[in-house]
Amino acid sequence: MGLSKTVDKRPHYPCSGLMNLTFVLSLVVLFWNDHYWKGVGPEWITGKLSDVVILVVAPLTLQAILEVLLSIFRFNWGPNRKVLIFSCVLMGLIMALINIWEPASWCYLWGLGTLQWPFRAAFSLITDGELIAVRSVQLTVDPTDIWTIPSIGIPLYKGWGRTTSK
Amino acid sequence: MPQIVSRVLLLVSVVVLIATSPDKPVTTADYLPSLCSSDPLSLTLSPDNMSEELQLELANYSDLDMSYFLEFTILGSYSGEENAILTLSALDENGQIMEDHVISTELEPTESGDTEEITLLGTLTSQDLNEGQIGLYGFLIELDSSYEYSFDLAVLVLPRSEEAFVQECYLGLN
Repeated sequence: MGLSKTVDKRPHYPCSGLMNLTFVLSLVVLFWNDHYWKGVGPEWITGKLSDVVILVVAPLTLQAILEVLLSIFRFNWGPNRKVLIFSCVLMGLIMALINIWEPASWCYLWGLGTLQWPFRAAFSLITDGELIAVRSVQLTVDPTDIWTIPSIGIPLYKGWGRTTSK
Repeated sequence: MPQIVSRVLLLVSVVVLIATSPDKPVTTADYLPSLCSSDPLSLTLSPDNMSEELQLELANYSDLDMSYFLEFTILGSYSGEENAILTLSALDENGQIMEDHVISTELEPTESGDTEEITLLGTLTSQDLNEGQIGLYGFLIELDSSYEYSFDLAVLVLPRSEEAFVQECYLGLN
């Protein structure tokens, strides 16, 4: 018995898992929360809301990236349930580890800082004409964030009907 | 068309997750105090001992931008009966004075016979100076006076950019 009773019969293509209202709304909330609500609303609400929507957006995004890569390299891209489960489990693990294990926190701080660097470097080059160095990001370690991990069930539920086990 | 929209959504999602992540890069404010004030160094200069070589060491500083303002301040009144000139020169790696990096102040006794208790000697910029070793700077302080002058010298290290910070600084005799 699957998570979803109905099978998504719409045409599938790499990334089509992002074409649903839940994902789009989560993306909008993620952006809006980080830029406008944080610092205004209660910190524990905006903090947890951020974690919840990240756990919706990030696994589906990773799944879409993997599907695109598999199709580019002419592998069977799916939509495969293993890719969905892998993406959800990986993101859940990352969320848990960065909040309870210092080496994981460190990797996150510098990993995300490195990923952000091209954007920030391009921005500083355009605005100030200077190339900035890689910097770590900030991380508020909060073990209670682990309580948001069940929200990984949302992308799992949304993606289940679209994917097959083969 | 839906395929294009989904690719755009993917791109937007990646940008939102990475570039506009809530976890902003660490900035100067996170490294408070971003500036550093050294402990005052007690010095006595006189006609017999007109100069001293000094060394400034920076520690726990950002390696992102090694550009700092070095603001030197004199603490202690001057009691000579004539004006004196106190000069601080940056030294290059051979111990020679860097002529373009010299600051000085004229110490003028007030009517009560003393100068102000605190006098700003001047400001140098670290990136223009020579580092014997990374984070080490050499200076020569000289007094031009017929009278002895005992004072404390302190330096305030101020990052020039928002990204830079320095947490420890030591001023000592070389």
